[in-house]
Formats: sequence, C-alpha cells, structure tokens
Amino acid sequence: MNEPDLLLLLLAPLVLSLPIYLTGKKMGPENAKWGTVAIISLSTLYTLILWLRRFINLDPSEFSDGFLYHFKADWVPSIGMVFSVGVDGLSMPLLLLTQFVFLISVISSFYIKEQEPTYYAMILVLLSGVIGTFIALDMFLFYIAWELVLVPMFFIIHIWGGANRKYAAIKFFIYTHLASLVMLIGLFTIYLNGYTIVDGIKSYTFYLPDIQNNLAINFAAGNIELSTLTTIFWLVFIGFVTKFPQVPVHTWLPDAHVQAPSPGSAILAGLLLKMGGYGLIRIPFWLFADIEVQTSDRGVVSYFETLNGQTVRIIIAIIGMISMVYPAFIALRQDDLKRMIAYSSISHMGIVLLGLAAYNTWGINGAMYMMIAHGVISPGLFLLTGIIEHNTTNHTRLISQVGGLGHKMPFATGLFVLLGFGSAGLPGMAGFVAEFTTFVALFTSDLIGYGTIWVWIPVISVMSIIITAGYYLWAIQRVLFNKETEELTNTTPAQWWEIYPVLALAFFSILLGLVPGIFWTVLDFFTESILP
Amino acid sequence: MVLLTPAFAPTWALFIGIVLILIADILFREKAKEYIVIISTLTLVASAALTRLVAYQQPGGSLFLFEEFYLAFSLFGLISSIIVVIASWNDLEIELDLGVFYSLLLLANIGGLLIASSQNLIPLYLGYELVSIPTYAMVAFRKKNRNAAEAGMKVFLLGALSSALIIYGLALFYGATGSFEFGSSILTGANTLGIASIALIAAGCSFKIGLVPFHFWIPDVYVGAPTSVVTFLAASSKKMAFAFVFQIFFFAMPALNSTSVLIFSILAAASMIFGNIAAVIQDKVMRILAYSTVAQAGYIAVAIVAYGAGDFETKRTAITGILFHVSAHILMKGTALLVVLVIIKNFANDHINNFRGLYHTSPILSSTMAIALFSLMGIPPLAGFFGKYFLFLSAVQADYTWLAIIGIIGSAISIYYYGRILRIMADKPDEQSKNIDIHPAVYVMIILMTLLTVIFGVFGETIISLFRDGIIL
Repeated sequence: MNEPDLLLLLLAPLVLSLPIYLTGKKMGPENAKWGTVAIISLSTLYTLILWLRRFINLDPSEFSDGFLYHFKADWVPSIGMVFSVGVDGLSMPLLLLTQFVFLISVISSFYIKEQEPTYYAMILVLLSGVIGTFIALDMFLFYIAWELVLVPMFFIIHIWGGANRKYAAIKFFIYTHLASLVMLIGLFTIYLNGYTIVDGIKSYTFYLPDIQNNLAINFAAGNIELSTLTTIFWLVFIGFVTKFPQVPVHTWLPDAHVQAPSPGSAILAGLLLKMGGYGLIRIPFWLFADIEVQTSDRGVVSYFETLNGQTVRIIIAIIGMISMVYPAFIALRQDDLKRMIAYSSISHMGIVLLGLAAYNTWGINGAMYMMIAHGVISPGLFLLTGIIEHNTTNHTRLISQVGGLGHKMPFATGLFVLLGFGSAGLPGMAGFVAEFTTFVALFTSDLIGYGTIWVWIPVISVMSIIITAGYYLWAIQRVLFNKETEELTNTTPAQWWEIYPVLALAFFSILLGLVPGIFWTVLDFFTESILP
Repeated sequence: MVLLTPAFAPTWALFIGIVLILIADILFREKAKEYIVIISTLTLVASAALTRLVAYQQPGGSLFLFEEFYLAFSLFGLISSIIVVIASWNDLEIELDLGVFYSLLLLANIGGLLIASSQNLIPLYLGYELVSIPTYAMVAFRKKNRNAAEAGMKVFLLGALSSALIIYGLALFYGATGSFEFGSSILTGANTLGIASIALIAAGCSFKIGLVPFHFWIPDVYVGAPTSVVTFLAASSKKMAFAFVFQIFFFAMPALNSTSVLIFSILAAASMIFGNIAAVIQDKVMRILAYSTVAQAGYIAVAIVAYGAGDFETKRTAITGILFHVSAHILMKGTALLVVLVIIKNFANDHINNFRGLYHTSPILSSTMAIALFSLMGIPPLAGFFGKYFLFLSAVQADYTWLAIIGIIGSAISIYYYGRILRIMADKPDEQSKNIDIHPAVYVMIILMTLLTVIFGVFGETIISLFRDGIIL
C-alpha cells in the first residue's frame, strides 16, 4: 500500500526552497522568513498528526515491510533501485525531533539580516536532506539524502558563520565527505551481498527491507562469510562515526560548531550528529538483525553475539568510553562557551556507542533515547550561547570575558542553568533517563561475561559524568553568577524569538525526563524487532 | 564497396555537411556565421537520426558492425558535438574562420563513427587518426597567440608520438596473432610480443584520454586553445577516445585482458592521485578544470579495469558507470567551461579572483557553476554522482577495492579545489567585481545543461536500458 504522506514531507521543503528564495528576492526578505516559518510549522504539525494517528497505539497489522506510512515506487528497476520511504520506531521519533528542532532554529534565526532569502532557502534544502536520511528505505536514496545535507550546511557555515568560518566550512565538508565515501564502499559491499538468485542470475536490490532478508538467506546458504559482515560493519562504521563524531575523527566538530551561526550549530548538534547514530543503528544493527549464526557451543545466535560480533562491540565500547572521557577533559579547559558545549556533545554521543555495544533492550533503547534527549538539550544550549553572543558589547562568548549575566538576563540565566544541569544528567530530565538505562544495560550486558576486565568500561564511563557536571557548574558559575563585566553594559533581556524557542526545548527536556513513556514504547517496539 | 552501402549514410551526411560549410564560407565570407552554425547543427542532427535508423538494420560486412556499441558511442559523439557547435557560436577567438573550424569538427565526427563501427584494426586506426588530426589544427587555431602556438605544438608532437606508438603496437599485434581481425587469438610462443604490443597501444591511448603520465598537454591546451576547442576536447573527442579504448582492449584483444587490466589499474591510480593533487595548487580556473579532467579520466579508467577483470555482472556495472560518467561529464564540464568562457570575456583572464562575489553580481550564473562543481565533486543527486557511484561500485565488484579507495581519497582532495571556487563565489564582491554580460544563446545553453545535470537521475533507467545486455560480449 502506497501512502504519500512522507513523500510530501520529504519533497515539499526541497521544492519550495526556490519559490522562497525568489519571494525573498522580489518581495522583501520578511516574506522569505515568514514563509519558511509557515512551511516548517505546517510540516511539524503534519508529522505530529502522523505520530498521533499510528504511533500512539502501534498495530502490527498496519506495517508493510516492517514500516508505517510506507511508499515504494520503481526508479531504476534494472539495477534494483526503488524510490521508497517509510518510518518505524527508530525513525519516527527522530523525524519528529527533526521538524521540531528546525522550527526552533528558524525562529531563532531572526537575527540574521544578511542574504536572508538564500539563508532560508538553504534551511529548507537542509530540512529535506535530514528528513530524507531518516525515512529513506532505499540505500541509494539514503546516500543521496545523506550527502545532500553537506551542501547547504557548507554554505550556512561559510556565509553566516564566525571569524574563522572559511576554514571550518571546508574542513567540515572534506571530513564528512571522505567518511561518506568510505561508507559508500561499505554500502557497495552490502549491495553486492544482498542479492537474490532468480533463474540462476543474481538480481541486486537497493531496497533495505529486501536486503535485510536476502542477507539472512544468503548467510544461511553459506554465501556470505562472517568476516564479510565484519568488514561491512567497519566500513559503514567509519562513515557514521565521523558524522557522529567520536575520537579520533571528531576534530571537525568543534570547528564547525563554533564557527556556524547559532541556529546552524543547533541543527548540527541536534540533528546532523543524530544522522550518524541513526545510520549506525539502521545499517549494521537493523540490517544484520535476521542473520542467524550456528555456533558450536551456544547454539543459534545473532551476528553481534558471535565472537566476531562481540569483538566489534568491545571495540566500539572502548571508542565510546574514550570519547566520553577525553572530550570531557578538553571541555573543562575551554574558554569559548560554544566550544565547551561542542566537546560536551562528543562526550554525550559516546553514550550512544556504549548503549549499542551493550546490545540488549535497555542498551539500544538508551542509545536511541540519548539521541533524542541530546537533540532537545544541546540545541537549547547552543541557542543560549548565541543569545549571549548577540547581547554582549563585543559579541563575545568567552567565559573569561562574560560574567554576571544573571543580573541582566534572568530568564536566559534560568534556562541556561536548567539545560546545563540537564546536559550533566540531572534526574528528572531527558538526559538522565538515557544515561541511567545505558549504564544499567552495560552492567547487565553479555560483554561482562566475556571477561571481567570489561566491567571497567562502564565504570570509567560513569566517572566522566562527574567531569561533565564539573565543567557545566564551573561555566555556570563564571558566566552567570560572577561580578558583572563591562561586556554586559548594554545588555537587555532577550527578544521573544530568542528566548521562547529555548523555553520550548527546556520544556521538552523536562517532559521527556518525567514521562519517558512517550517514546519508550515505540523504541521498545523497534528494539524487540532487532534483538534475538 | 562497403562505403557506398546505406550503412554509411551518417558518414556521408557529415561529408556533405563539410562541403556545404566550405561553400557557404566562400560565398558569404563575413556574414556566413549564422548559416554555418545552422548547417553544422542540422548536419549533426541528420547524422544522429540516420545513425539511429541504420543501427541493427544494415549489415556491415566483415570490417564493420552497426549494433549497440555503434549506436551508443556515435550518438554520444554526435550529440556532444551539437553542444560544442552551439557553445562556440559566440566565441570571438574563432569568429574569423568559423567555416574551417566547423568543418574540422565534422571531420572529427566522421572519425568517431568509424571508430564506433569498426570490427577490424585497420579502419579502427583510420578512425583514430581522423579524430586526432583535426584536433591538432583546432588547438593551434589562434595562429598568432603564443600560448595557442605552444599548445598546438605540444599536442601535435605528443599526438604524433602516440600515433607512432599505436602503429608500432598494432604491427607487433599483427606479428603476435597474424591477423587484424577483432578477437584473434595469440599464436603459440608469441605471448611476449602481444604484451609488448598492448603496452605500446595503452601508452598511445592514455595520451588521448589524458591519463597520468601522458597528460602534460592537457593543462596547456586548456589554457592556450580557444575555449570552444577545449569544450570539444572535453566533450566529444573524449567520447571517441574511450570508444577506441573499448574497441581495442576488450573487443580486439580479449586474449590479452590481464595485461591491459594491470596497465590501466596503474594508470588510473596515478591519474586519480596526481590529477587531484596538481589541481590543488592552481590559481587559474581553467587549469583547475584541466587537472580535474585528468582526475575524471582516472575515475573512468577504474571502470575500464573493472570491465576487463570482472564477470558478467561487473561488466554491466562498469559499462553503466562509464556511460553515465561520460555523459555526465559533457554536462558538468561543459557548464563549467562555458561559465569560465563568460568570465574570460568579461575579465580578460580566468584567474580565480575574478570569480569573487559572483553569487552577488550574477546569482544564476554562479548557481549553475556551483551545481556543475558539486556534480564534479560527485555530490548526489547530480549527474556526476551517478557516474562515480557505478564506477566505484564496479571496482568493488571486480575485487579492485584498493582502486576505489584511491578514488575516494582523490575525491576528498577534489573537494578542496572545487570548494575553493565555491567559497570565492560566495564571498562578498570587491572593487574588481562587476556585472557580467552574457550572450543569450550561451545563457540558455548553460541553464539547459544545468537542468539536465540536476534531473539526470530521473533518466537512469533510460540510459541503462539503452545498453542492456547487448554491448557486453
């Protein structure tokens, strides 16, 4: 059954970007601005309706090929390319997050007065790219959307960014493009192994649900080696982890986040990092879910429970652990507020890897919940940094130069404290739910049985939360509660369009902390489908 | 006489066109420009239509074959020549001798038809020379210009050398097989002779395609020759050269497959690395594009390797990749060259600083350039991506993953120099920037090609189905 809802969400922003640009050019930039707000509001509302219609009560009979709102059409049949989109428990929460973060970011972009029509057109193209990444069910379409994101983001950093924007933009582009190309080789390998044999001729497909089945069938028939699966994993892992990003491929992120305009940073942190996490769950974990391996001592297990798979998981757990601890220490010594939050993002994404490494229900749920929680909290912090930057005399956000903000901007201060604590994992907020479940999952994971030494991974990682709390508290103390500096002489309370978006994010970070059930059942539904 | 059969109607159409152009040039002299352009376009269209009619219908005897391969490559060559004709309409550098220029262009197309239809090494080589010799004259077209003279000299000397190498290689091949027929098997004990012949021919071919280390003429020609000629070299001449490579290595000498695969894998790797690195340090946009051509030829050579080394499925992917990339290359490189042509006209040279602020002074022109550059980078869903996708896929499929990895490293380097042009275009205009004048015909051409670049993916099935299984033998 073909349902066009998602197709509309995917294509509308892309198609409307040109009219918005022309409207802005011919009829004044105000029109472009409000037009974009209207488009994104409508698409957010529409996504919300889609959520309410099917995701409140998940009905397995409504799924087609494992997806809801499924659309599939032929594209290039001779090589197995289809045009297919759909959402499941993994992508729908992220789709909702995408719409929401974009709406927030566009409203926070009202301070931009330079080349507004181009800016809003870029935002719309970017929206299409991000949505496409989350809902594409065709590997080719997935890659197109994945790469499409680079182009508008490159220009957003390059044109509207900070002092060192040119360097940051090209660094972002080269880093992530090279990583995507490595991932592309991984996708090739998947494509070449995901065939079916019809009348003695191999017939290939890009359609992900079919590949999922074919991999399992071909593996059972002995046509795929266990080592091939490991190779595929590492190839796509390099691609996703660079977007993610984790140590040692994280160096583009501090530059890009710091130089991008604040709404751009919010989108980068809130969504572009999530694309990496989504890809990692969708491509190896979901795609290998049906593969059954016969072992001599433990009977039939899934790929990630075999010796190869366990090694893979231990390595990603170590990467996750290093990425949690090391950037936390770097964040501790940053003077630039934005750079500190950027490093804290890397640190938080380490939790996602740890959750995936645990490979049990709570672990994968925790990893997915971390992405949502971080997607709500970190854009808020970036936007607050933007507010501070715009309201200081010399437009600075250096911790050493700004101080005593609490006297001038009480509301923003309150939000900063709230979100800062949220990021540090305060119970009652979204981040805590994710961190708690992930660590419980790690301690109950089968990795512990693999060797007691692996107990140290969760132990060391948990310690990093103390450092996180440390740098947030220290920054809060210096920026908000110290003596007022002369940077703040002309500061006035923030504008409505500056502060209300952050307020909305803060609201959701508390709501998701107190009522995790909103997403939890949906995430559970997805996790059950990929775990043995 | 096989030349008088209906199968050669497209060739005769081109021949008649040449004669008409020369007559028009003599009769109208100064005012002949429009007539010549119209005659050339119509001739090419007629020839393309006849090609379509002739294919599969006419017997070619023992020397020629008019089937898929002929159809695909002649149509590519002819259609890209139409683009060249329209693009050079307003090129002041060649205005005075337009008749000569266009007749040379049509003559090269006759060579292209010959290459695409040959089933024997003798007519194949004749076709190769018919493509090459007009090119030498076209490159040296601006007789009094120093750069053009240097470029012409370079391309002529190197071209003559490459022809000599190919001839020598063919002679050795005859020695090794005792025949000029396609697909002859090597005689016992003549294996070394065969390998020597294929090495010589590969060197000669690499010159024409522009693979490292036979690429030295490309940057000089891009800078020295009139831009229309560069467009011709990048668009149609290149297609014919690839047709030649295909014919000679995979249809004429299948017995020596493993040697040619080895040679081309080395050449491809070298081109992808050196082409991309050399482009990084250039300041003239024309030279950047020239080195990017070398790199793109390297990407295509990857699929030549995969075609030679792989099984049936791989061959299909490889040929898809080559055809996608070759046709995408016409669109994206053509657009970029035309934009550079416009810049040269307005600023007198193609220094990268002349692009500064182009987005603010001429949004549409800079957007087309940006799309062309993104396509050259291989950003989806633009035309260049589809080509690159299948080229690298074929390499992985043929177990030449290392070539694909060199390719992606090259692509990552290329982001830097393409991105540099993009950044400068997006920057604020300075005192040097000014409004750009564009001839409407060129403008329409640029926009049309950009649109095709953007919606290329939609035609994926059409292009693939053109070549389904028949071409792989």
